[in-house]
Amino acid sequence: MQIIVLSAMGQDTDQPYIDRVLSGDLQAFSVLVDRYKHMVLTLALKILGNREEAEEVSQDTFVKIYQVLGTFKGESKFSTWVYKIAYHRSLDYVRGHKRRIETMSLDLCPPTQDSTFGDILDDLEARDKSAIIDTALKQLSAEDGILITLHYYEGLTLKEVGEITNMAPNTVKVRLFRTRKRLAELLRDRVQPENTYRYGAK
Amino acid sequence: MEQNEDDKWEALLRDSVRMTGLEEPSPNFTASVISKIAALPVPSGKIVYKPLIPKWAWAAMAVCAGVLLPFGLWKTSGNGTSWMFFEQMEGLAEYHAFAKIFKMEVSEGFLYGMVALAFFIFIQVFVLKSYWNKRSVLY
Repeated sequence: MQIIVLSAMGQDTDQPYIDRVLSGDLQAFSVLVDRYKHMVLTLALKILGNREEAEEVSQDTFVKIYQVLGTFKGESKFSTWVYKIAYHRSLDYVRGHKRRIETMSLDLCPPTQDSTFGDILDDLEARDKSAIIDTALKQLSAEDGILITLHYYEGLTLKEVGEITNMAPNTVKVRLFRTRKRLAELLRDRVQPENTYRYGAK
Repeated sequence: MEQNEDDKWEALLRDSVRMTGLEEPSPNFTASVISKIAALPVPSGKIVYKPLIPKWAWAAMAVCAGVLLPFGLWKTSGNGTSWMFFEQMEGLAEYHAFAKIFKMEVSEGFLYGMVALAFFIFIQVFVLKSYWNKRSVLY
């Protein structure tokens, strides 16, 4: 896993490299690849669930980005444009191989129980939060994982996340709220197993 | 109160997601991409639209129109000459497949069906054009 802070990067830092690529500087493109390859791979891996395929699709994504770089008009952030291409190429790959991505975790979400976010937070304080949350995040569906990663890791706005995933900002907002609840349920099962037992006994 | 808890939970989630980080690509990831694009032409800064109907198709349609139009004009001129050019060519008219098409009798329903089909194909050209335009921006 790699921790990268991309928030400081933006259109101002990407545009000079884009211009250099368009004038034939191949090495300038490697800077853009290095900058976005982690998120592109993460998105592809969440959708495809297979590392080799995700690497292949990610590389293919960058080749495509290179080919159509001239069509980038700067109407959105370059990162949003890159992630949108990565997201849709991964979905195309899944469809091309007649597979489906998991999108139904919210429907499986159990009803809210008597423990609140506050209770769970208190219990988490005493434990290894990151490890527990990391495990819970991996239990989310591909789509929910992508929404969480784009919004909370990359710091994209609801509108930008919606632009990438072809969802209305309000839909993204509702889905993120439900995903937070779903995560809370998953975490409660881990940090308050006695509640899970009580719930099961009802 | 509940809103406050949700905010705390959101903050914790944000921190945790950032701590978890992103996937690490293979060490030769960038080199592989660069080697793949090395053989490609330098991308153009201008948008090059590929026409939905290629030039050769327009040329074919022009040839068809050029051949069919005189037949239509010949018929409407009323100079007593048959509009069927092939009928004037003894022997050939009986066997020429093109001439047989014009002699063919079809029902009204079939004709309406063909007109409707042509209309929907015409509409579809614009729908497809719009679809591919959007896609070309994406890809």
